[in-house]
Amino acid sequence: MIDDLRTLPAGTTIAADLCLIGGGAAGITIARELAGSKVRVCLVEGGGFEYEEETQALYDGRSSGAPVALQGGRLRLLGGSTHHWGGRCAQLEELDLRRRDWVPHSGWPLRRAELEPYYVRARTMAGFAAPWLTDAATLGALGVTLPGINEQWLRPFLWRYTPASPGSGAWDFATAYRPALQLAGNVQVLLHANFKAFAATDDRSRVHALTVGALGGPSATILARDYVLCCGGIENARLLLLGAEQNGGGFGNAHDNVGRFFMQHTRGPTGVLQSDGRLTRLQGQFNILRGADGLQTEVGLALAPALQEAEGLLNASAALQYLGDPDSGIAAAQDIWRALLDGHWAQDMGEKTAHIAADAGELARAVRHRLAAGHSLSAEGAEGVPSRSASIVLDLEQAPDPQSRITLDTERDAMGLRRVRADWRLGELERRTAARFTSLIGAEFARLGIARCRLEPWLQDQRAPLTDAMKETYHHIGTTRMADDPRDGVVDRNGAVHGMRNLYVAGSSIFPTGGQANPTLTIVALALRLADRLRPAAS
Amino acid sequence: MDNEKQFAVPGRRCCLRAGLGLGGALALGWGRFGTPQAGAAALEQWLRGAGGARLGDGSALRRLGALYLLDRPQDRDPDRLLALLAPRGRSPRAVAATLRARIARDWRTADLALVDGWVLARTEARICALLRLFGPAAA
Repeated sequence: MIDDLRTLPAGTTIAADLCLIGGGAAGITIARELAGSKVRVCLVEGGGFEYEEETQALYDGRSSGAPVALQGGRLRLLGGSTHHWGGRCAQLEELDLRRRDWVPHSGWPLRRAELEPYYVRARTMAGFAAPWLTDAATLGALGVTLPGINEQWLRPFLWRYTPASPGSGAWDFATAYRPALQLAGNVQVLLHANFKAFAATDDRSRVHALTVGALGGPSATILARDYVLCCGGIENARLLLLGAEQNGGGFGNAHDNVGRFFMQHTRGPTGVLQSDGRLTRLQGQFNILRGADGLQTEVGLALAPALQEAEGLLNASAALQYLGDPDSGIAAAQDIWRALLDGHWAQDMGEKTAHIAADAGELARAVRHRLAAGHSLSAEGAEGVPSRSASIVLDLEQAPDPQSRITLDTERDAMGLRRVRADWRLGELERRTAARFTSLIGAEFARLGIARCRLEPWLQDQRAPLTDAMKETYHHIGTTRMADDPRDGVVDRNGAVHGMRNLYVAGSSIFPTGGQANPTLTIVALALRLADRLRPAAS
Repeated sequence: MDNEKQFAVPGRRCCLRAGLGLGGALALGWGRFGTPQAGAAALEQWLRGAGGARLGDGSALRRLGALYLLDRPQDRDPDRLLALLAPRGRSPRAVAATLRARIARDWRTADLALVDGWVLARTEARICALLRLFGPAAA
């Protein structure tokens, strides 16, 4: 059942076994997992089915460190920030979860093997109909043979893209699971239900009630046995801080850890590979490739765990983005085609015609490639276009830093609640990892005689802020981190808030470290794990 | 890094030409060096011949060499550098083979020099430095 709080009578009280606060990847996953069970689930979501400016504005806040897009980086509607998602899936690896002496505050209370069965289920939840093949089998199925890279330093890394939901570029959790939530007799989704207050018991060991309100509309009270925060890496921390403020303590903040260790993956260009010849072969190897099943796989590189350990580096991965060759036949043909679409002849027709004639084979291949992919022949970019250079684009892990944190601001939102303040800080380890990783990519491609590498100028200038070039990815991580010891974190290995008996957190805010992998699959895996634990408890 | 102002920064094409020139030079082998100056002159001449118009006068290599030496003062000893790269008495074929092997080893062991952003094998950077030390700009 899906209701809208704006249509309910003021003062409605809803009784449930489990209250999920937030309807993004984590909240929808838990609700979907418990749909049809005996657990009475109430999922409250601040937004509706569509984007609304007024609701979205509740996410506004202040950045006091490196800039954080507090509004633009999150989405407040059913499906949450998965509406930003490109469907790029990857999993954390063993070293990502281990305590690394060279990464302060690293180490999960879970082993990687404990996540594996949940990753398998998470892939299904993310729309993959068939089990994932191994990397080697995937490459084989794609017909890709990679060059002999030194795997002590670098190793191939594969991202699998989800199938796309209709009208979306990726798997759309809200669209995919809305019918199941609508039909489930034990699930009530309450839209436009924004957090207003937690009421805790006197000893602050339990949440007694949750009050939600519609903007300018009625409020309702949820009385549940258990509560799960599923609001994303920034809002989870904010609601715990608000809960502690409203109740005079508790809410996992006994050791002032809530909101600390705020991290994001950063992504940006760190170098350029340049060749005198065309990189046609490389483009068939390190690229986004479509398999026979229609699904896309991206082949890139990652730092080998042995090297991370030997040199004290963070994890990182690299994708190649090919830069079009302006002298290629297809570039000339595109110029002519675009000019004709605009109703005139292109300039330098003679020269362009010569380029087309000299490049007829490549041109025919590129046209076939684009037609097969259903893409426009005139589209910008190097897809199917022979290239002599490629940008190395890194996805970089961030080291946990307690000074990088989310706090409450003095300003208040339209619900009367204190807005968020983000003080995002990055350190030198990120820069060193980026420089070393890019240099090693350059060394390997030079050794293989494929291309020469030049680092981006920002990476050569120690004074240039990392975030000038490496941009935030909206992967908000670490603010309610997992730790067995309450002094080191906010939730335990099961996502239960330390010091509280019926409050849990789901989402990337509980990751102690983020690795380099896109977080959605891990968010879903951990949400499935939590759902399994809540099922008998709530029943 | 104020000293950088002494040198024009080589561009992408310059460095590509330089890399090509070095590759060509190693392929052809270089003359037996009697003195360091003769060795540098031979290398310069050989680079010109190998790269022709694309190599120009080798200034791109010398600029990279100058930038490398700013960050690597221990390689500023010209006699040591020349002895390291092209010991006297070796045949051109042997010198070329040695340099080729060293560059390959540099890549394998990640003995790298970042010069103006370019990822160079250490030996490549030292060849550039040698040209800077003994080439026309040093006179």
